[in-house]
Amino acid sequence: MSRKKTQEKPSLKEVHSLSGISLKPFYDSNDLRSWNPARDLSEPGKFPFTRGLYPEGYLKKPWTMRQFAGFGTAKETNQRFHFLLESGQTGLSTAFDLPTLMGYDSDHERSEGEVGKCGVAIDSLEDVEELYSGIRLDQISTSMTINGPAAIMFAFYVACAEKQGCRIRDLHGTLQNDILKEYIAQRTWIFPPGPSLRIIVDLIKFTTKHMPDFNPVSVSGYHIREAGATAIQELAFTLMDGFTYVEECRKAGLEVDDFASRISFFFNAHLDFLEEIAKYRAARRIWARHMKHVYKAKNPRSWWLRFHAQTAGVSLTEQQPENNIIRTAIEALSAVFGGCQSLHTNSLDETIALPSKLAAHIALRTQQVIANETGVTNVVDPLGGSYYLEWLTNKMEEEAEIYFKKIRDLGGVVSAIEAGFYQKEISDAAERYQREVEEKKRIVVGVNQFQMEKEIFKPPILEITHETELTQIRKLKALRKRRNHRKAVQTLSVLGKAARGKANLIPYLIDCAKAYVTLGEIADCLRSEFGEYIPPSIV
Amino acid sequence: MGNGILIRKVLARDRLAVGRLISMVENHDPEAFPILAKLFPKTGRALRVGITGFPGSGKSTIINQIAKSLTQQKKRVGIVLMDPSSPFSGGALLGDRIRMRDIQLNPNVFIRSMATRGKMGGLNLASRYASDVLDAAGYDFILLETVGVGQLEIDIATFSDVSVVVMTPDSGDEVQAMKAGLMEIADIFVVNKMDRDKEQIYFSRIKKGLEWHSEARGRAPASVIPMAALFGEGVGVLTKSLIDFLKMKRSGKLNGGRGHIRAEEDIKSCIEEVFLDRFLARPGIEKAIKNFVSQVKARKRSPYEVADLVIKMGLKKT
Amino acid sequence: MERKIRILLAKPGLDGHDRGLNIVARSFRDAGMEVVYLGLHQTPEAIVRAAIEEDVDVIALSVLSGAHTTLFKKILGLLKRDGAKHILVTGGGIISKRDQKELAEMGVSRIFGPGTPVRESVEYIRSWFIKKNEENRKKR
Repeated sequence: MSRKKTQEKPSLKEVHSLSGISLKPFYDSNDLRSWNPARDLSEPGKFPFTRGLYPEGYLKKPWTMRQFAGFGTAKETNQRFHFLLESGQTGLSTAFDLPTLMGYDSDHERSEGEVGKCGVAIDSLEDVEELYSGIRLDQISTSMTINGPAAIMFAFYVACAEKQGCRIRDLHGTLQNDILKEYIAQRTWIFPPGPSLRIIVDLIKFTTKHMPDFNPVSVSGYHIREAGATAIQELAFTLMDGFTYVEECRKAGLEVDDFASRISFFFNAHLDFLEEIAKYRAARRIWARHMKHVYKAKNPRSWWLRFHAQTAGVSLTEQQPENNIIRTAIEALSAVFGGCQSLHTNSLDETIALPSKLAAHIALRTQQVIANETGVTNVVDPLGGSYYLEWLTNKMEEEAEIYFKKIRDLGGVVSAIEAGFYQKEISDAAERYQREVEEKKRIVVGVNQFQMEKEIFKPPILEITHETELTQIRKLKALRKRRNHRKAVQTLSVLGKAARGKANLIPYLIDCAKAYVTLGEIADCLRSEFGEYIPPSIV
Repeated sequence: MGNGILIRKVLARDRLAVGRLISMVENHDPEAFPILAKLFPKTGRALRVGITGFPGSGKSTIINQIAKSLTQQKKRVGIVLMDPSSPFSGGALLGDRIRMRDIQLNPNVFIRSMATRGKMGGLNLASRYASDVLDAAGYDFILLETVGVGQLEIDIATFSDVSVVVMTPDSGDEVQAMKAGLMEIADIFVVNKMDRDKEQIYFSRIKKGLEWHSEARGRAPASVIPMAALFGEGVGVLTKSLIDFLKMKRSGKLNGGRGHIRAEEDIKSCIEEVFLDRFLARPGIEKAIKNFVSQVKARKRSPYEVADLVIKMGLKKT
Repeated sequence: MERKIRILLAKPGLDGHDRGLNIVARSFRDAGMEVVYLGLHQTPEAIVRAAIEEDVDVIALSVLSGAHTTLFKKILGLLKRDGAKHILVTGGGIISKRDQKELAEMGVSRIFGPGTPVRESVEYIRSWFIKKNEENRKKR
């Protein structure tokens, strides 16, 4: 074998993982001296679950293919739901538009121009009924990505299920309902932290009692990552939020084993393939250790970290969008190697518009090819034991623990938010990344290298027209005329009173939902009781 | 816009005009001082309140609440928010308006953000002149917010009618560290975020420390107000205090002793400001300075020598 | 004295994705500009009011929610009503080429889409500012 004379000798430059961890060219047993396989690796299905929650992994139960969808009116989204289910999707995930996420009705002044653009417009129970028309809610796992007004949407969902004839005990799915990460990253909040946490605890109490298969919270790192955080920060900040919810529930008098098994998680699946896998494994191990040793949970299910993953939106490019198919596929693969319970794969056109039918179809097929053709699901945690992976898993756990201490020293998550800690960490990381790209230290294909003057592929664009807004407003006005006005006013007034007191708000919200009180009306009622959140000044 | 129209509009509280004039003053526009001179007779009615304190003490929230409260009592409030300029780039990130949610559209409020523009050590006059503009425009209160507790804050406290220093329960130790000057000048101390000190343990400690300090200097102790601005608690007390101060000012009963010193300082600082600009603008001066730069850099001449030479040169050319 | 460029940065409407806005804010500050940072969830009224009080040279908006046409239109309308048409209106976000043309016809200047290096927007604003000052000096 001869080497070409023109071949350049590769220079040994500084190599870092995406989150900045300095890397060596290779790893071996020397890097695992303090690693104890019995204690740190164990077996799939055994504490601390580094290798996964189930001994048979995906052989027993494949991950749920759950594509996030929602746009326009409830009717249009319902059509997309049916299309995805017919294409082989195994769980629903609902995307709501900005007015809905911020607690405004479609005819509110601030909703102008925003209705149906980023997700489906939901103003009342009537819209939810249309949204899930033809879909039995006790038959399919349903996820709802909403936070500020999460409890309101939950009330609509429960009321809708009851109207369908379901028993609420049989409902299974997830409500994102993670307000802490809103203050940290996604910024769709309504009320200040105190009342928001109260509502979350109310909801956890409700589902713990009435809906044992429903996840009342999906502690999320996805958005924190998208805002600019590194994988280590995503890991640390998410778990810290999880610990905070556990502490809030215990403060409210709940026993940890009553609710902990239903706290679920939501992580980003980004491009540094092995770092992401290490992240998921570290997450499971950290959560298990803290739940068992710090919070003294006795039920093994309380030690389980179950998570949904979504491929990284922020890694997609507007230039040469066809390349996004490849990025998504690799990211999805890392989530599968990481043992996710549920997965959403992005569509190639997400930097331009909401997913077109073609793009949504390709995204779903990506998961199906991985599941059925690659053989990666034949063995659980197939990369376990790799020197690099185990070293990286250890490293990420170490770094996360450093962050836990930093945040605790600041007085906990809420105090750290007020002090601008998260803002600074995330902005700094985002700025660093941006600089690396602009200085070409980090290559993004099609953007700062391999650019093209003229695009080859022009993806079809999903358009949301102004018609959507007009249709929705018309519908809303008709609803307000049709409904029993007295009942609506009465349930709202009773809700306000309950908000002033200490009662669990969920049953009152369900009553409002059934009386066809709108989302905006309920949110306004709670706004007047709880006030609105004002973020700290920029750091 | 001609100067005459600008002056008329400022007196009519036209927002565009007021904003424009403040910019002129900030940019050392040669037209600015003559305009301020014309507006001077209309000034003197506003209460100038300097609000300083450590970062994170909640000053912006307090200003938001106070302004809201004052406008509810039919008063007009001008607000100047100061933030440091970057010593490297000269730019600045002025983000304090974020906290002013409740008042940002109030017709009786005017909010302006200003960067210190490198004048950290000396008197920052732009904020003082901005206050003159707002005073002439008819705002009853002018709230000046600054960050930190340093020289800038002492200077602002010097030309304010009332100085408010904001602390939090965990800043007890820093009372000692605070520049002595600030302690002398502060009229009101606010201990904010009292929701963290419900038993008032830290509050009592701070209050005692301040009382001792004043006693040691033979002064009457300044008032200490407990507050939780985010929840509106304590805001009423501070508002009332400020309204009382305004009444005193308008009846001539405020700052009797300091008035003399202030007026002299006002004249001197205007001279300093105008003089330096005019001097440097004289023909040949900038060029002369540039000629000496390489010599000073190579340490062949001292900057003291050069200054002397340039000044002599400048004063000769009349 | 060298005039500083004063630029107002905000996100109008309900969209909360401020990663880009934060980076741009820091970059503009590092380029020597004074950045009046209004942040998220701003109404057109609040933006225009702040622009006038702060006497800014430029308003830069970030919109990723698809509501850009409505929002930019409202803001331009208010600037006209309040006599502040001299302010440069620019921005970034998810805005299709077709919509960018429509915005340009309304009076919005260049839009900087995803992947644009920040220095491009800095250069654009600087050149515009220098040109404007030249024109003003000639007028006097």
